[in-house]
Amino acid sequence: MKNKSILLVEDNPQDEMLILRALKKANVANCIEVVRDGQQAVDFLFGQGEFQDRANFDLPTVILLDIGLPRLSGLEVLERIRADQRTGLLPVVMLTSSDEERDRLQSYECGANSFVRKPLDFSEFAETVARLGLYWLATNEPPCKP
Amino acid sequence: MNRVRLFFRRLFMGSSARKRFILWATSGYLIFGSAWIFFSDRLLLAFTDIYALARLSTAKGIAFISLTTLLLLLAFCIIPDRTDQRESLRSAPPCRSSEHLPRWIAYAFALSVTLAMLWVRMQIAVSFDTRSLLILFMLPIILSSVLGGFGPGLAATASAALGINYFAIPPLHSLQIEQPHDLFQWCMLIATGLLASYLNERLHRARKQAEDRQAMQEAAQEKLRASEAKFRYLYENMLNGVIHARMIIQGDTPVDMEYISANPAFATVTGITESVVGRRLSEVIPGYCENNPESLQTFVQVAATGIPRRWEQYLRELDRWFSFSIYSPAHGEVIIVTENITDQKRAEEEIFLLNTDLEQRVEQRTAELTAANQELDSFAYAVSHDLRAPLRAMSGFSQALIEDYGESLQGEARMFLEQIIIGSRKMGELIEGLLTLSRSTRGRLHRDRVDLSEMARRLLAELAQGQPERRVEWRIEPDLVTEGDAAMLEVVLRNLLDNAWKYTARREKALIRFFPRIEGLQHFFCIGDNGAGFDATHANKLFQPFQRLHRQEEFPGTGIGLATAQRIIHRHGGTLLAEGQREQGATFCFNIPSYSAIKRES
Repeated sequence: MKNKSILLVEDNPQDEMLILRALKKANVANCIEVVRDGQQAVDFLFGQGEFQDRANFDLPTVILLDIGLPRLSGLEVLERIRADQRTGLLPVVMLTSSDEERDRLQSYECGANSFVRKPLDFSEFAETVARLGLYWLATNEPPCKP
Repeated sequence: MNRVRLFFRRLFMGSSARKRFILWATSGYLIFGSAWIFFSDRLLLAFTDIYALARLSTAKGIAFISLTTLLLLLAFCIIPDRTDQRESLRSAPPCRSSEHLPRWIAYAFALSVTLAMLWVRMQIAVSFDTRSLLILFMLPIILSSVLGGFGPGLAATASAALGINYFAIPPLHSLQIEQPHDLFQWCMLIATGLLASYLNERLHRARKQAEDRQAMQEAAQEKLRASEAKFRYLYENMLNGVIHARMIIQGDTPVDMEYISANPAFATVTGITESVVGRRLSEVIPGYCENNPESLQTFVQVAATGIPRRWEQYLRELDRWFSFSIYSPAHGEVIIVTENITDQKRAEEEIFLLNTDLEQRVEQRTAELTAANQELDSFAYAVSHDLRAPLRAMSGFSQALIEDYGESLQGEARMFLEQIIIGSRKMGELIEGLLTLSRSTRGRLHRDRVDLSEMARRLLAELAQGQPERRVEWRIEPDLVTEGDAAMLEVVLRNLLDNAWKYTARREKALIRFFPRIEGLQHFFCIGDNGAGFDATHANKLFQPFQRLHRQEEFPGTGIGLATAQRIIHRHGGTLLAEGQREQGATFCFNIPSYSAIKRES
């Protein structure tokens, strides 16, 4: 799985730890980048702000994007991703605690590829995250092959 | 005899000009004729020459005939026009013959009065010698024909001619006439008699027709009087003010109007107590004409076209509201029917103000409610998003601890961790329940056709799949369909079936039924079970959130499901009812009234 990576956008450190643990257990932990708010995510993707030095970087294979984020919300980040030519087709999975119909609809309207609710139950949660990682990194064929 | 009396009364009484003229004419004729005969015959004494006498007598006769002809011409002139007669005959009232003299009396009168005159002639014959005195007989002939028309007149003429021929014209006691001048006079008598009879007959008929016509006119007048009285009563007593007025126009512009009449209610309706008749609108209500040129224009339009109009107007000058109905009885005149509608208008105004106030208040409340709902929305959102994360951390790290370090954990330490996990899961369920409850009161209601039978079957199948070890029989009446929000109704069915499933857990032969029930006009859908039931005395607590009728170790639960179900049914305009007894099962019934009744909500 060289070259293939996941960008995790998650502001809750505990959720981040749990997700990383689950991915690690699924053996996909070696290629995960983590940013902690919406602005950081946008900067990371477009090589700007604090990520200016990463001018020539590889785009992640998939983005796991929370909705409730500081600075820029997940939906705003998604809009920017879709608005930019470079990232327009990048697979984005909304990974969120919310199961509001409103959030779900808006996410798909903004062009999310998938909407996954974080299960409350720990084992279910771990299983879901592991499956997500495996699916998007191994099973799914990305639009532009690196 | 009664009829005779009636006839004479009608002949001589009464005061119509026509009758007076008849009386004057006939009595004048009687006096003049008698005087003529008396004095003209006296004149004859002056002549001794028999031929001169004869010529004079002929001239006298001709003069008399001419005079009577003139009188008859006069009488003709008062006969009503023939077309009038026909018209009056056509619509004549029922025959009034009772007021006319019987025919035989007229004939008897004719004969007797002629004979009486003959007797008078015989008595005075001595002094008049052989002069026939034919003129005397005109009286009975005219009287008879006046009384009875042509027939009696003819009878009188015939009897007079015969009698006089026999008794008074030489040769006496013979029907022969020697002298030519006697024959001439005799013939003239017959001719005059016939003419008089004929004319009187015409007069008779004319009089009868005139009488009929008068009677008809009287009847019509009586009707008119009754009608007039009726309308007069209405005019005087009606509650609407009525004014009759004439428009006053200068050039093309109506400037004023003059009151012709006003009924008593006009004063009450307008509060103008002094008499307005003959006065002008500008005097009665100063300023009206200047302030309301368009009203005057309308008045004059109605007066010109005759097309009635109605409108309502506030008169500042009188501080009253009026309704005006304008009619035009004649060109340039108007009749205004008016009513004081001030109270009604004030009430309308008040209602309008109240409505506006109410609308404002409703808007305000709605805004408040919307704000509260939005607050609740964000609260629920916060709960769903922010409360779950720490909970997930608690249970997640406990689980991770057990997974990664479970072997090194001793005795109670592991059990405590498990309790943390159980507590977290429980809290998770509560949060889920709260979210569902809050969501059930928010958002739009969709309108779907929902097959509840199919939905119940699917949900029970899911439940059976979750607990394959349970043996539960279910009976679902097919094709129970309603209209409502499919997702929300699924929450209702899921909660009710979950409960039925849960509370029949201790039954060996568990039975869950879904069936319809009709109560009055309401169609209910019911889910019944033979499970643990509930204590009916606390049934009122069933639908309150977090209220439970069973202990956790008996039947676990959050106490939110039924509250949610009830809220959803309420939002659909229906009711959710619970029936049950301890250990005798429970039945929950709900109805969804026609969707149109709750459409306003969405």
